[in-house]
Amino acid sequence: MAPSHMNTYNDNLHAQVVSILSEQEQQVNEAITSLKKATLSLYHAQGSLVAANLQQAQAVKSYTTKGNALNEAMANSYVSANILASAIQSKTHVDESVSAAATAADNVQLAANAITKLASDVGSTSSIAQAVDFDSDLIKQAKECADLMSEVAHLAEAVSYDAMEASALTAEVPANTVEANATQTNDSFKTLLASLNEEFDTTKKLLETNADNLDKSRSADANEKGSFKNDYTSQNAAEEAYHLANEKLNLDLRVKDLSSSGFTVCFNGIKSPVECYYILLVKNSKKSTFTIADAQHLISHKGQYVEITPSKNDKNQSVSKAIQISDLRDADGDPMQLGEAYTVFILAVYADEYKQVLNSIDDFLSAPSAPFSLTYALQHPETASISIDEKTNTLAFSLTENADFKVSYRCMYLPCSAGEEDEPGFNFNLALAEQVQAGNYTVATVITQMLDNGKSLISGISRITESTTDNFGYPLIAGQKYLPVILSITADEEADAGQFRSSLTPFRSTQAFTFQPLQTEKH
Amino acid sequence: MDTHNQVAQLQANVNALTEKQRKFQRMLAEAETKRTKALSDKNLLDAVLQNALELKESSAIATAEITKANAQTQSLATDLKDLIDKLIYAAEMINKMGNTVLKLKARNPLLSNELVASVSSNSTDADKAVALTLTALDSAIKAQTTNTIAEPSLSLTKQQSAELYERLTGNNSSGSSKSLKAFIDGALSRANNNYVRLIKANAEISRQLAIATTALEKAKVSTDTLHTK
Repeated sequence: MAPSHMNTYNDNLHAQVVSILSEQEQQVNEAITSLKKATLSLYHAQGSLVAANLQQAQAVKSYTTKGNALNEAMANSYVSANILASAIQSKTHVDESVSAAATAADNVQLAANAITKLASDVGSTSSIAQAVDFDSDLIKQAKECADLMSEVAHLAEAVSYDAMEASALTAEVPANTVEANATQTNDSFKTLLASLNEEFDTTKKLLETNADNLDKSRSADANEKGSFKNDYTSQNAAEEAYHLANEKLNLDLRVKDLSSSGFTVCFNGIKSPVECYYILLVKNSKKSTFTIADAQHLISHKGQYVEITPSKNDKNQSVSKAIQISDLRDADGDPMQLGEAYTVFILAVYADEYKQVLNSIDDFLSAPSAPFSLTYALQHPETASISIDEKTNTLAFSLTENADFKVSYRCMYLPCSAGEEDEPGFNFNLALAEQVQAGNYTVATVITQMLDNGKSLISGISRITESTTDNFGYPLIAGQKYLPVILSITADEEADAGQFRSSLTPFRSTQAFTFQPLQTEKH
Repeated sequence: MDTHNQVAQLQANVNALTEKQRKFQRMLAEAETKRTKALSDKNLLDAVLQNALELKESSAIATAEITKANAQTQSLATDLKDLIDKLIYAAEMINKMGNTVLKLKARNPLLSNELVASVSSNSTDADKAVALTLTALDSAIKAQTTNTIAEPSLSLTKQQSAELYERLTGNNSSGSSKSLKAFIDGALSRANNNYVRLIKANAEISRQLAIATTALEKAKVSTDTLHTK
């Protein structure tokens, strides 16, 4: 067979593998993008549900309070109506009394007048009897009558005065005022009651609207959960397919243990006798144009490859090689950059005897690995260092971080679900935390203290103020439990943001707190 | 960070804060409506309390006065009864003297005619006086009866008014926290606090938005400068 023939077979196979893996990588990427979208949609749907639940809880509270106020007002208004009835009744009785007392006073006056006249006449009779001087017994009798009547007349005068007094006192009883006051009280009560009734109706309607919203949010949440599950399954399947293809067709070439200082390359050895494997680093943007000729050219440039000599005995050996960032330049001769996407290729140079047997000088070049990039992992505060001072509503935390890094600490408050203690009622993770909008988190104020190992001790505080909201943008509610979480994210405007990997405090091991607003000053 | 990305990020911040501002302004408007309503309820309650207090006082005064009037009317009836007893005794004596004069006149026609006429007139007048006094007694008893009905009626009004006022203000056995005044004062205090909090929140958000906008404008200018270079 002509060498050129052999080369064509290998080239075709290589091209086919590259194409398959590239297609599957594309599918994985699409699945990841789709899952990200679904995760975000689910997050928003769950946010709406959480807000709807909180609103409903508040509406129920308001409904109860307003209902209690209305009940009390109604009970009071019944009393007020009873008072009005009894005030009207009282006025009728008092009016009758006034009239009866006036009549009595008049009649007593008439009687007293008659008595006074009689006393005077009887006095005259006694005088006549004395003047006539006819009978001493008669004179005596007339005198007695006159004295008696004089006494009665005095008494009658006093009684008449008493009757007038009784009439005057009865007339003075302010039954009119009582009735007027009772009417005013009852009228003003009706106005207040109407207002409270109207507010109660509004609250009731709000409760119904909220219940509707809650239903809609629940079904939206269920829908989103459905598509999230689908996308999650698709993504797993796409990754599985890629791994399978990569395993069967591309030496199971993988890059793992990524850090800011290096990475590890793993692959399965080739069955054919290989003299040497070379790990080559290529910018992800240039992987599609990287050829075996480029690879063969590279291995004469020291520092642009990592060489592995296979052990003679083990033909199926799997290789694992840890590489420091300083050990390997990329195919362009550039030092490795944090945040830049790379792939690795494996060039296998066959043993000379094998090449002679095949009558070929060609070596084997793998397809590119899945892209990867190295980053600085930012530190997050330990959950134990997170505290909330309830006197000042201030969140505090601390951590150590590389002194050169510019980091922003975004403080977020996740509402806990009503049922579970200290658990948010929704999915939350680093990617979602990075999506939380400005205004729905507060950036902590930090004090940095240099340590002598190139690190600094960072103490952060963030005050919960009137404008502080939960991660969904809903204002914090008195009596509601929240989980404080802190996202460490780069604030370096100069550097490529891709150099830094954000990190999030593990909220599942964080202590929740119950929010209570500070007393506002009187305005 | 690449400047385009940075501008996009800063623009996103401004957008998010603008959205937040709109939301909080809407909440402030709602809080203001609620506060106005709570204040109006408080004023309506104050009117009720004022009226209920006046009612409590006027019904107490009316009850005290009807009690006084009642006592006076009671003693009037007693005094009238005493008066009529004495008057009847006197009338009987007058009639007895009239009979004595008539007997003496029959025995001795010389007895003064003037005395006979005067005594006879006395008897007639005594009858009239007794009749009038009986009528007075009757109407005094009626006045006493009506007063006896009016007094407990006013007293009930007084008692209910006092209870209503105590219940409204919470100075009663069921406790101050459940009184209507406590409910309405509580609602006003909550509405006020909420309003004040939202005023502060909106001021804070405006400040944050101003800072974010300034940062965005600065970044835009530096991007433009890069482009013109």
